Amino acid sequence: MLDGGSLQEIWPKWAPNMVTAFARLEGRPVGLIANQPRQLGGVIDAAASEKAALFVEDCNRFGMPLVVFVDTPGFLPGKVQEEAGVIRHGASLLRAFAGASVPKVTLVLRKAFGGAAITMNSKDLGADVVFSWPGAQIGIMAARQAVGIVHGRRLREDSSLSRDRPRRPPIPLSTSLLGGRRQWMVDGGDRASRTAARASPGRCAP
Amino acid sequence: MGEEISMEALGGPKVHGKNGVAHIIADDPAAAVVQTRHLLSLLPQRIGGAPHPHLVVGPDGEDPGAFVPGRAAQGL
Repeated sequence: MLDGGSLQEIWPKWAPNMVTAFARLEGRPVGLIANQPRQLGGVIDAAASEKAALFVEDCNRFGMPLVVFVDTPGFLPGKVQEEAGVIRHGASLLRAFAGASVPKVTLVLRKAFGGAAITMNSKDLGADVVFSWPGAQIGIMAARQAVGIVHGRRLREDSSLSRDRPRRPPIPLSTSLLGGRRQWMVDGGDRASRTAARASPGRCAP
Repeated sequence: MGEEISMEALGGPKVHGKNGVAHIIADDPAAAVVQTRHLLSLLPQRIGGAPHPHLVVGPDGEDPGAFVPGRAAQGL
């Protein structure tokens, strides 16, 4: 979707689960922030939060529109992250997005769950436009995790039940069809060029 | 502090390319010049300045969906 050869990644080796890069979109420089699902499943940790927050603030300073690609299962839980101050660093990313006055466009590619979905420049955080690919899941958590919490006791008491073998396919509560009702959706077709055209901040109206 | 450490391990690119101190690590001085020129072409001359005019170049032609792992891997 980007202008060929224009991509310049910043901090490629630091927190590679969060990609930050400058590039051109239809000739115009933009700042890109993207979860990298091939690194830690695209989870957001303290370092990734700090990296993205610094980058968002830089882009805002330089007046560069933000283009955000979302594919994250959530914030990384656990003792190490809490000790690293994931709450403080995560909040700094929220603050950076919320405080950025440049055009802000988000494209949900696959997963956008929980607080991490809100943090990745969600509509309610102040994004001008949020797009979603048709297969994307947007919600508090994935269906499997939700079953584990809502029916945890039954699962422990009845070994014939498993959250990995649902009796019927999960109701598509978290699909982008519902999310897209409030936001915007990119449909099939020539995904590359259509996504580029529709994500181009110069063309977007909130 | 009495710490025994090499210059490379203390202040080299392997350390500071991974902790956010250095933004970009170039392979050699020539690559550093090329990447610096490229980076400056993307940034405005000053804060508040207009972006450098640039020709619109088409995408490389790859399907962006190819980089997104398939739904089968989602564990649903």
